[in-house]
Amino acid sequence: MIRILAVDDDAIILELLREILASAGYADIEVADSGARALEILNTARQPFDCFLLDIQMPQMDGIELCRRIRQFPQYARAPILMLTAMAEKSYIDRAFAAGASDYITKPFEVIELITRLRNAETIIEERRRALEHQVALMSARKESEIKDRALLTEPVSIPDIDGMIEYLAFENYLLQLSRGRQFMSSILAAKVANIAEIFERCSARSFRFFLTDIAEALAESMRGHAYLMAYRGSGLFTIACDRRDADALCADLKANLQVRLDEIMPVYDDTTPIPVAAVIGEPAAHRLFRAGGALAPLHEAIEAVEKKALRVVAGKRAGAAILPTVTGGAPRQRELTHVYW
Amino acid sequence: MPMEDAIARIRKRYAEQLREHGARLRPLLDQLVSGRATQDILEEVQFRAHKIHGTAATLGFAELGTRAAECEHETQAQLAAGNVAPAALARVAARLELLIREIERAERAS
Repeated sequence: MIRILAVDDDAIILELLREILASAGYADIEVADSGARALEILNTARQPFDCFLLDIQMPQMDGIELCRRIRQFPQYARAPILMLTAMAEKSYIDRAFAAGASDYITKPFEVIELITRLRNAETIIEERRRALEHQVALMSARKESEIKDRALLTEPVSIPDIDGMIEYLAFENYLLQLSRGRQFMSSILAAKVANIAEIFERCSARSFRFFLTDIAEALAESMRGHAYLMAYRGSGLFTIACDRRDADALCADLKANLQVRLDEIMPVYDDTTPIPVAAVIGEPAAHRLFRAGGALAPLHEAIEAVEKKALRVVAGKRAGAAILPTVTGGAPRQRELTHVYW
Repeated sequence: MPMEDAIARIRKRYAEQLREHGARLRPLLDQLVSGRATQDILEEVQFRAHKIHGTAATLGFAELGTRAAECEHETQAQLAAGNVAPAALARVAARLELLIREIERAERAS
């Protein structure tokens, strides 16, 4: 059973949600008619909430601002937040996901669709709960720094406090939401740390997380001035969504700046020796008319392309030669440990 | 209580809310038709149309939802353009008139 907080300034919607959710087995629901009231409830709640349903257009504090505030509660940093709104424009969808929304449902909603999305959220909550229990069990046996689950290498990892960074599942939901409104104005590109497996082997869990944060920060810094959403998919792979019209400029900035940013940040292993990074940047992929594969086709295309490049980089490194273009010219670099390929 | 009964009860309450929306929107339509509407009036129209758009179809009033969406989008477009010229107001008034007519139909049906 999950505990839900629904926030909407329309009493009819709140009443409707109560009935629909109760009929689907979600009886533990609390409601608030404003953002301020919702925050009051969160500040005084004896039992934490598992999931949130937020309207966007509300007087005073809108649902996007409320979403941002909810994310500031440490216990709700990763809780599913579903925006339930009549605002179908891309600008609202972009802002909601950038503020930390996990999913987006447009009103008027179909009862079955709402329940399906809630079931998805519930699955995530359960998986996280199990993962946490597993982690706690491991921690009781060993120190946290010694715990290194292989899932940390291959699965999406939440990287907080980086501009434009959202959870991977929310990233996919964002693309699905745009496609529902037939708003194919986004391009997707991917970047990958080609030698991630080697790095993972030499890092503790803690320093691996730091490393991922360093890479995310270098990517975000390289894209400064552009509007984008980014997520970490696991296995060293970062996915980026941006406005289609800005995709080439963003990609060019990424290619021009990432090397410098990585050199500045200089990620290190636990023993403070620098981590050699081979980063690969893909090309933007966008929706094309009459192409099969659905809403996530450009995402899959971008991922596949960057994975292929990464394989070539790894093969080239093994053979002792770079076989893709890399950063050339400019001032002599202090260290030759990071390489950016495209 | 079965879900259908609950929805029927909510529809009844919704009809009351629609009556209120109708009562508030009619004088706004008069002002739009007279060409004397201000930005505040457009915002009020947009707010109410938005609310109806968000709920009507889920409660089984699909046509009402469509009319509300059309009215909301037209009003939103004029507000975004900062346009309160008579021609723009007339376009909003036309959409609002259709919406009010649909509200009255939905009231009679519930």
